[in-house]
Amino acid sequence: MSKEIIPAGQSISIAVLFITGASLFLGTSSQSGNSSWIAQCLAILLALPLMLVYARLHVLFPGKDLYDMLIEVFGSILGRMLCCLYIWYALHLGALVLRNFGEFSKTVALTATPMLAPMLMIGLLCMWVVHAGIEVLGRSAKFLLLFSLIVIVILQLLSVPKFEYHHLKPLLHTRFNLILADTAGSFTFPFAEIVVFLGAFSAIPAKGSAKRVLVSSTLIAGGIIIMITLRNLLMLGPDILSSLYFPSYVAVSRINIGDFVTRIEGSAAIVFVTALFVKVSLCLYVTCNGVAKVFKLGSYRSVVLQMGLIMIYLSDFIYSNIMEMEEFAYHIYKVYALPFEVVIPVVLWLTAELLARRRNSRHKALPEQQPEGS
Amino acid sequence: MRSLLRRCTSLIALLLLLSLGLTGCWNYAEVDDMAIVAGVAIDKNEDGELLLTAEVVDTGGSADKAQAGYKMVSLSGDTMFEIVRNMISMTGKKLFWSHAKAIIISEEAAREGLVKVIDWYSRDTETRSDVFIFVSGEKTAREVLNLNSTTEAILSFELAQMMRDERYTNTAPTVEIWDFIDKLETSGINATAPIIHIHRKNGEESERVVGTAVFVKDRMVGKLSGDETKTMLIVKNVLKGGVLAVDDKRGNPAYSLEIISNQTKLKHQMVDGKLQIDIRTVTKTALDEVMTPDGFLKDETLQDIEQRAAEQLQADILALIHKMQQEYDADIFGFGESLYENQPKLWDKVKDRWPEVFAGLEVSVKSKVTIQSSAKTSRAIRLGD
Repeated sequence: MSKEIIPAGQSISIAVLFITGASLFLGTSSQSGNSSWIAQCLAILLALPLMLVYARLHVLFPGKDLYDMLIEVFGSILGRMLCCLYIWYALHLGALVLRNFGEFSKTVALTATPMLAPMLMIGLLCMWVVHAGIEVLGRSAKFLLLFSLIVIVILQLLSVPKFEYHHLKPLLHTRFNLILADTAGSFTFPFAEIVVFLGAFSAIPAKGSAKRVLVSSTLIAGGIIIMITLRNLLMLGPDILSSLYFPSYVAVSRINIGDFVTRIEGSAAIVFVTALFVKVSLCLYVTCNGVAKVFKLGSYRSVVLQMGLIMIYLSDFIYSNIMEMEEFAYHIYKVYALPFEVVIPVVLWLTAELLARRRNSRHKALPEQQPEGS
Repeated sequence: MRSLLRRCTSLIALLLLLSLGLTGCWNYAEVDDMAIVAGVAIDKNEDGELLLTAEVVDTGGSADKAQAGYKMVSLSGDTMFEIVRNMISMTGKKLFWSHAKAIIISEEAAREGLVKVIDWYSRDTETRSDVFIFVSGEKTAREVLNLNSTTEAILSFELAQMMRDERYTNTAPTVEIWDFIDKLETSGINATAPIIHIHRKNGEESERVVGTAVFVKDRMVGKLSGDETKTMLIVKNVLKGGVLAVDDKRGNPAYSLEIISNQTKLKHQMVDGKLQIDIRTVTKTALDEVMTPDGFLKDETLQDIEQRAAEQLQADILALIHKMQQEYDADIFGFGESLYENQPKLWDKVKDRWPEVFAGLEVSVKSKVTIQSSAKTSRAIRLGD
């Protein structure tokens, strides 16, 4: 199996689109009303140390991905069990995001079309790109990010006439626990979801670029998300915002430039789909990669079709309606995701540091042995 | 040969697969299979049921007809959506709501509460929430929608145009349905809606939008006249234009001041456990009409006119606020919201009993009117002997 490498710029594009993915149309959890953007800032600050932990893992295990690390550190049995958990996490996350898209298209665009149809189309596309390899995904992400950024910035500028700045006042007059709840929500979804990217770490070139990729993509994606949160807040106000499933879509539908540029929300939805495409693809890639590692397959490509179809089907039956989806995304998810995003990676990191220390001291005890490449 | 065969098979498979995805819209509908709704009137019928009247654009007709016609469809039922769907049995076509521009609600329905009427409209995906909302000043909403419009073929579209130009007159608020719902949900501000009348003159009837319907929660409680509406818009700091008529010394209407811009500032303070509100307005105007040869630079200076306009404005504002406090307990000005935004701690103390606090609010008003220009002429018309 030839080794696939994606340059830092492309991995940043993947990561940015991955993080912004679902929050572009779902918005972020907003119990704290007009302080939600502060919660976002806190979430980014909270996410940065975690990114450094992830990046450190890349330094400790150059050229390896999450599954290799787990198996190497925790042994072949326990490691494989943890791998299975991560396979589930990636598969489930991909299904959730796909479902978000399905609900979106059923609610606002194609109301009479069964949800499975658009999800299947996007799903097939994702399977295709994963089968083609992560390099293809990287290149398309770079292009799609550029495109999405242009659209997002244009939308932002067109929204400015509808901004009502008094929605920002009074600053920080929300109960602090609500802000913290929002911070926890935004931290787990979307920022720390990037843990999935660990499953593709073997594709990042060795020399310290993991730190650059993770930190800069968190900052860029955080900037985009704060921008969008602020736009929705300023256009819709905290009261209406809390009642909407797809606040960004509604905010964009309010844009009206001289009765000429109106009703552009349909076109704006393209951005949602591009970001979602990258997110689902990465989830699918990581799922397949994990299956390949656990069962020692020659290549992950042999399971792409199967896992992809399972993911699409899972997304179809995982919730019975949109209210359940919202309940899960905003209230249950932040508890459910914590072990995957924080607990296991941090334990992995600490154990790996210990092992590396021990190895180093053994090196010192045997000075005649040649030091391995730094 | 073998690989060619394989390639052909996979190509055919791909084409088959693509044909699934590329067949186009699932919910495909032709324009001529839909009845385009321009506006809707909502009444209560004798049995207390909702009565919906839709103004449907007549897309048929020959090409030489310059303007599209319209047809009226009326049906009653228990819920909005039920009526809307049942209307297919009258039009034969599914109603298409994206182009609807106006909702007219009868006063009776408005006094019973609007949530049951507008929830469907803002929830459903077929409708758009940027439609203008009106309260009928006549007995029913239907008769207003039934009028022949003046400049455009379809009344609802004319109403939408009127709302866009409302910034020149400012005698009615412009309220889109999302804005209305926003005001309903926000505490510390009451919702308003423009009133639409039938204007009868010389046997001709036309629609006229003037005045404001005042809501407490989602129930209409009272009305404001056109002039009171202008005052309300000044207090809310949303006035964009309009005319201030000022009397001369003897109390006859003599001057028109065109409002160029208006800035209103609110200041709240707690004095001896009583909430006080201080309103300051600064209005920039242009003197655009002098109806008497004696005025303007002969008998009185600009300062006199400014002074009189300011006093008049002050009195209007005070009168309107007192009316709101005493008759309706309705904070249409958003005093509560501005208190919340600027002094959230004070708001927390009074928010549970805001209607009473609002009714007992002490108000002081200071208005300033400046005249920046007098259009093209520098003095009143002189009468030669």
